[in-house]
Amino acid sequence: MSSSDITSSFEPIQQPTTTTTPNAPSLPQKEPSKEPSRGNIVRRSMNPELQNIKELGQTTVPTNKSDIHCLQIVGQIEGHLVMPPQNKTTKYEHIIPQLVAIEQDPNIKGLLVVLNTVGGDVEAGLAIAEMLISMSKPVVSLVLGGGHSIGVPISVAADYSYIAETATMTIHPIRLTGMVIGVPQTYEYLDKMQDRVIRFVTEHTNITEEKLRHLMFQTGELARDIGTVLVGKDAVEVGLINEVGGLADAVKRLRSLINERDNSTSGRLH
Amino acid sequence: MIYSPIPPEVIWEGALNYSPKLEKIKINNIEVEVEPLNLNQARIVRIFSTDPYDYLDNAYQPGSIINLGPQSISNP
Repeated sequence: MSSSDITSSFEPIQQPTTTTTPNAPSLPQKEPSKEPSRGNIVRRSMNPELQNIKELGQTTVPTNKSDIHCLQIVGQIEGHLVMPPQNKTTKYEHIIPQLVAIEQDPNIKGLLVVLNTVGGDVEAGLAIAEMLISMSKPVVSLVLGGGHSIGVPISVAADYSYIAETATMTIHPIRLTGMVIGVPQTYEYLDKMQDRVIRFVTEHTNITEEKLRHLMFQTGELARDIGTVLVGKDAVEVGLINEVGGLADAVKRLRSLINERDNSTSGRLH
Repeated sequence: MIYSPIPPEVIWEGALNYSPKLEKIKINNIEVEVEPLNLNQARIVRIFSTDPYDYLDNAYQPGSIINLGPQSISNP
């Protein structure tokens, strides 16, 4: 270690002033080399707790927590059955209490849902979607990569939805998987499950039921299945997603929704 | 019921042989289900708590690894 490295690890005593924000001293120093080195006093970086006592007079520094929380829906949405380890999964039983915490925490103002999912359990997906739609706090969703199958109702459950230009959404029918005895009741059951998804999506978007069913049963697009792949702006054109956009758009929209909500609640109080 | 463009044979491959040994333990008064990795470490599978804030705690996210057993004494 050269001498310049050692001196750069020396942190001069900062007198907390009333004007500085409480979390400022916890940030890494940007230009330590400009600080005058005091003679030969070379001190290794201090114990952080000790440093906090010295600089702030307390052991714990107030951390800079975001008032926007980000919920990621990745891989398969795991529901009633535990999936083998080659699947990357989002566990709905973990997501739901998180949504409860976000809903009731006064310090959290809004939620950004980022989706890159290949679908998964119908009931788990619908459960997350219903939780999102019934939240009182602003929710903005952003589909990156893919928001397929059961990812569709989750992405449309937000107050405003974005899709990245290159992201895709696959609309296809719920098919038979695994052990199902081929009787008319089975078909009826599948049909009912599908209706739940279709009803949820049409109720919370501009797409009509007829159009959604048409996309779902389209032939010639998918090799192994019937259905449609919507890329970026296609999803906006059919009325499923509000806008093509990225992270900056999503955060900006969330901020404006939060402001709207704050204004409307303060207006009611006065 | 799975609704996904991934073929079911890919999703469920190895499912019949997949039986991780899971144990329930209590850490800081939170009941968690863990998959022991070795004598000192375990991977969190899920947590059981009625406090929703426990689910926002970074230390208890599914997949995160926790250290068990006696805590090593940190060097002064």
